[in-house]
Amino acid sequence: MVDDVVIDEVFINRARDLVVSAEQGDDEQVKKILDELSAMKETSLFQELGKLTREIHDTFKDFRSDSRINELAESDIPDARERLHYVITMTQQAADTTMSQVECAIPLCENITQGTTELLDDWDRFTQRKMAVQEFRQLSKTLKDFLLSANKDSKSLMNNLNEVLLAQSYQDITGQIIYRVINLVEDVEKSLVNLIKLSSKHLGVEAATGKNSKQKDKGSLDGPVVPGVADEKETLSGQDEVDDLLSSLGF
Amino acid sequence: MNKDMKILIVDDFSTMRRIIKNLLRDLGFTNTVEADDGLTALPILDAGGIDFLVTDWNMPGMQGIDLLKHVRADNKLSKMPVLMVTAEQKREQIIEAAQAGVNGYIVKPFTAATLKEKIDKIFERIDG
Repeated sequence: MVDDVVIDEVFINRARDLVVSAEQGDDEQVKKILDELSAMKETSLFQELGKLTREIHDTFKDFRSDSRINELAESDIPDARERLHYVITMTQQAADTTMSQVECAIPLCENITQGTTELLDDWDRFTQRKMAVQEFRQLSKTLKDFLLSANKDSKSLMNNLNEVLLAQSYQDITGQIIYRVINLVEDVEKSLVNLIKLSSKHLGVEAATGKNSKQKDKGSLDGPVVPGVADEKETLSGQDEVDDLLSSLGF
Repeated sequence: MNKDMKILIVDDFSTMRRIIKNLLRDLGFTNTVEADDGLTALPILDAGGIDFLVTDWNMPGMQGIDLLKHVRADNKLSKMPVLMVTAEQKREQIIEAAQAGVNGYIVKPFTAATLKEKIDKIFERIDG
């Protein structure tokens, strides 16, 4: 690299002069030209060294000022970890709720199945006139009891089914959280690529612009509140606090 | 409150739309339509016939807050009651929604009771 810079027109002309002077046996002139040529080489070498030093300095400076990397390591990654833990908690809660409700619902279905099976049997005997009056009175009472309990059980069943339905709302919340973590992973990837570009800068590879910063754009939303991750001061902790705030605004 | 009113449910997650739809049906509202973000909701609103809008905030395309602002700015739609059902619960966001003219604000995850309470409250005000 250094030699490339040194061999220019001035250098070549002086080299020719050197040959001419040497052939003429002009010792003084030969010595003078040799000094000149080595001075030219040294100047060029120092320039190159200076350039290299500045590039290394800039690279370190860029690296330090790319605060996105620090931000990722210090807050975003631990934040994502918390969020993913919250996803686990929410999915587990949803699974538990669903299973508990189903477990409550199964005996209710069994009651209805058992009751209808017995009644169908009695009813068939009644329609085939194989039932004594006394037994029919008993059947009539059993039927009434069954209708009452089936009515009650089906209401409970409805309730269980609604709870199962509501428990599925985790999918919305966890979906939003996972989307955010995916964005973060993309961010980390970009920062790493930038880092590689920065560190290869002085090897002559084209430099990265460095300003990758995916800072929060205005209008970006925070998404679901994850306990322990939210900014407690700015975030309300639930429907009651939201209602309070709204009523303070005249709602 | 007219139980036959036509309700537009806007949420990008189909699970949440189904939950809201089922809860509404449980409350006696069976006339519902769905859209998955503000942009798909707009033509449905413009076509007319929607009486009540239930919308999420954070959606791709057009967000719920912009949909709300659009509704309030449109002469034909401006009186429509809007209920926001969202996971966003920052103070400044709730204030922004209130200023944009939201009629009710529910934070996710929510219960069937909360939905009923907010809808009752919205229509008490309108009818009363």
